[in-house]
Amino acid sequence: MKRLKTAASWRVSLLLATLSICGVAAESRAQGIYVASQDSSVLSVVNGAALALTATIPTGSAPLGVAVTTDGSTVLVANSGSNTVSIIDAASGVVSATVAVGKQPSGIAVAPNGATAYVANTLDNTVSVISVATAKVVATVPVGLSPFGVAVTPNGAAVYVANSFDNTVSAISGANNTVSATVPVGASPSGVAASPDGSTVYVTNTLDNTVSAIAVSSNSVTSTIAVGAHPFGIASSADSTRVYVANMQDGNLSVAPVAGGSPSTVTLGGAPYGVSLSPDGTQIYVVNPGVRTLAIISASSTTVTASVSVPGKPASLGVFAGAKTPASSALVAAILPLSRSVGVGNTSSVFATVLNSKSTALTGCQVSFASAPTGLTVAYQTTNASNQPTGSANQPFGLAANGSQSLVLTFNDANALQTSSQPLLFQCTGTSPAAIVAGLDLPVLTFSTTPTPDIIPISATATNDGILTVPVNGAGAFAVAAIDIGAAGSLTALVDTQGVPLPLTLTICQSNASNNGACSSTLNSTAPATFATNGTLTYSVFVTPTGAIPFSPGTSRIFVRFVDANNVAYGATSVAVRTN
Amino acid sequence: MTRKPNGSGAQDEKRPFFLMRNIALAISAVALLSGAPPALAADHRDSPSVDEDITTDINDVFMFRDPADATKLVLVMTTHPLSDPKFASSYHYNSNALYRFNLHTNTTAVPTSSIDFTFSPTTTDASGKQQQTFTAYLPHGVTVTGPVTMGSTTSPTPPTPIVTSSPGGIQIYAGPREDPFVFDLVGFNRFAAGLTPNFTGNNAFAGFNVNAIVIELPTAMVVGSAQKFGMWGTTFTAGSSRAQLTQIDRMGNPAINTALIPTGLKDAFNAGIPQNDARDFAPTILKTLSAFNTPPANVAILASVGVPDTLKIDLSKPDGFPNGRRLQDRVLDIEIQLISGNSSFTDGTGPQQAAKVYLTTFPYLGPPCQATPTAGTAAPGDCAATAMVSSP
Repeated sequence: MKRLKTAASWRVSLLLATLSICGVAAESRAQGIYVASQDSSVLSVVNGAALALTATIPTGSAPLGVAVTTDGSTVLVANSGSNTVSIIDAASGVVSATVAVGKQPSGIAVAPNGATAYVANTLDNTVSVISVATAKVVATVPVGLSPFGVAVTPNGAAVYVANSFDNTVSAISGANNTVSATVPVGASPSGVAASPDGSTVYVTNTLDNTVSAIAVSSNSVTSTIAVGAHPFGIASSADSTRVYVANMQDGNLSVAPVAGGSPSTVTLGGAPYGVSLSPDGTQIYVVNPGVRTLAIISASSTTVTASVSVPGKPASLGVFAGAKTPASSALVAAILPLSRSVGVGNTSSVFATVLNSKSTALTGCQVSFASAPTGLTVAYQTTNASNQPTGSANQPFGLAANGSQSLVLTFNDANALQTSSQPLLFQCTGTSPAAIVAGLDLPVLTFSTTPTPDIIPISATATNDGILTVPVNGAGAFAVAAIDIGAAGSLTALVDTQGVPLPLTLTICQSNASNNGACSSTLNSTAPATFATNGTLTYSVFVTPTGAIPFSPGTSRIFVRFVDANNVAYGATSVAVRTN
Repeated sequence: MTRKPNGSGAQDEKRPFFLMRNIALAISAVALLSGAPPALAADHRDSPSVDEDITTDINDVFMFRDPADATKLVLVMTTHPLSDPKFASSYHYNSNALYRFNLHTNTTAVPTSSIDFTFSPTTTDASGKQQQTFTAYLPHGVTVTGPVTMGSTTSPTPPTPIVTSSPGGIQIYAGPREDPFVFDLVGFNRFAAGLTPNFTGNNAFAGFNVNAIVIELPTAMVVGSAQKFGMWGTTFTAGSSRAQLTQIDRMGNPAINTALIPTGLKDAFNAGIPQNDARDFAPTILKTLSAFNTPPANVAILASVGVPDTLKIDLSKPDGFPNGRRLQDRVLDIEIQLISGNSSFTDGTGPQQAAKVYLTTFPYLGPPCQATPTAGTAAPGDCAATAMVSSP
């Protein structure tokens, strides 16, 4: 087993930086925002007041649709890969029941009284009606071809389902669970939203670049609204005068007046997917699998006010924000290094530290994958202050009140694999697993059939705490040292924010360690990285913020990655950035 | 090596072409009216607009099931006609274009789902290697991004295809492959001009590559539980939003635009949508078939296949044109047989096609021809076995 000798103090500084996100006091309009990671079998919990990831909830496979009850107490998730719905207690983050439904459940909506949920079974052409209290399917309603998005009217009387492959919407009576009307709409309908005033249901016609407005009173299309390219998720404004539409191919959000007139757009990048509002209607939340973020947009100014990095490919569709303060894990975890790259059949290892932020001791702590491709395994073992393993592998451990434990994690895969997102669950009895934060505890793993470089980079800021503090319009810098403990190889060093839109410019150069870090290559967005085996290269990264960056170490980070021509990373490191 | 395929030469010259001559005369007449030369390809270079931008010129679309897994559908769109391997490294996808597979589960040919491909601008890395990435937009918000496989002007061996896999059984390839389409275009043109010898079995597309988008995915992912559906390909150029698209080309069945639509209407046909084909183009197509003296029974078959012009499939029946279209289907022989009523017609390229590489597994199309291949008929990248022999 290849073992790394690296500074444990580094992980502690990462954790201290992270812990600050748990200390933010909940405001009166604190909300839980639930982001399903379609490729990772987890629901990430975001505290809407702190705008930080606070916990992780393991779900079934390929979670897609999310519904939060009006009172915010219950969260339902449609697991499209395991044909189930998870019912989750919002306050504790505990899955209270898992309900078997039809094939490939996708969109889900819950009646305003919280008693009944409706989930579209895309491969069965049906909708399952679920009693939330008993966690049982009480009816199965045949609808059109490939039902997808679902919405319930505010009075609970009607449920609308987009039949994505026959260009219709089925209206289901909430009273007797039968289809009362089938409404022809545009091409490839996907997302559905009901207006809060109960008059209208909106459906995105993904192939037509339009939204059909269906009058609830007549179940007929009363207007068609032009939006951007490949419209998908949709929400109605609190005053029912506008719709917010995620345009996947344009990478923006249309803010479209429903009475007519040109929509305005909010630029987001990536491929925006689901749209949901805060319970008070003042915030618009958009999940974006293209850049792996949750964007927070002010409904009044229609500008992006914050962005939170989320793990995996986020895919929440439906009403995914609720009024209740969500679960917060007692645990915070970090790994070092962030990435390893070894040959198939070999073992790669990283160090980890897991910290108990609460003043009560925890037991039964362990580490596992939320989901993993066949053949990939993880094992954990506690270590002492000298990074020497103690106890035995996969033996659950305890955490003292406010205590921490260092670990060594070992990964094996019988098959070739490259992944940028393989979420780990750090969990103990009685608390949700730790939040999964890119740059902290989300490993990037490569198992290759041919020898590859295996770059272990470490970054250093002037304050030596993993945090770079720079004045707005000032200049800051940090250094990266990278050693290749694998095969020799020619890579490229990239510097970026991993899709999080931060107001800053970034440049990187290879540097001369014996000449005060002066550049030895052209200062650019990338730098050459030709490694010899056991060779060390050093880099300088220059940072100029063009606007204020508040301290948010879970999101505002600068990453340096060592990638090949196919953008496969063989090493990665990051620092938190803020302005002063 | 090159070789003269079987079935060419004197034997063909003696073949009774009474009905075929009618087709040729009709096509010649259409061509003379427009002043443009006749050309019968699958859909290669089929209108003035696509000639202006080969990156959005669709040659062919194919649709068939994975031979090893009947639950999976394979869709192929080839563009960049007649790509010469000597310039292999410069055939890029148009970063301002949208390449779309449209599917319809209805009989009206109003699309019910699509798979869209967009491409990044081409960049060059520090070592001078060109790179381009695709993004595929599948139904239900599924997106897949991956690298385009780049050709090489100097490598004797074809590039290893980069296959991007995504959860749920999706595989995608984009990049150069040998043109899977085969036809004796020179022979046809000579025949249409009343010259002999004409059909000699020389594949006009031999030795050329195309850019191929190949996607395999569970059929249900694009049509749900539908058992009968249709597909056609379209290319667009985009304005400031990808919602503002100008359609450049479309392709359902092979040779509909090239053979049955007069030159003056070819751009209009390519800019049209299948749901309007019965209204806009059926009268023209029927007129053309009438000029060809197509037997009435075959007119009905051709109309059901070509109007609306989408490639249709019934999953309860075996694959093979006109039930879907496999790479190796002798589509022009089949179509000309129907149009002419001569059920034994062939352009004679069968042996050349038999020598071509079609893979039984993804990405199905054979490797691209190389400018300087390793000699030998079995060597990948050596397309000499299917190359054009000298013109008659």
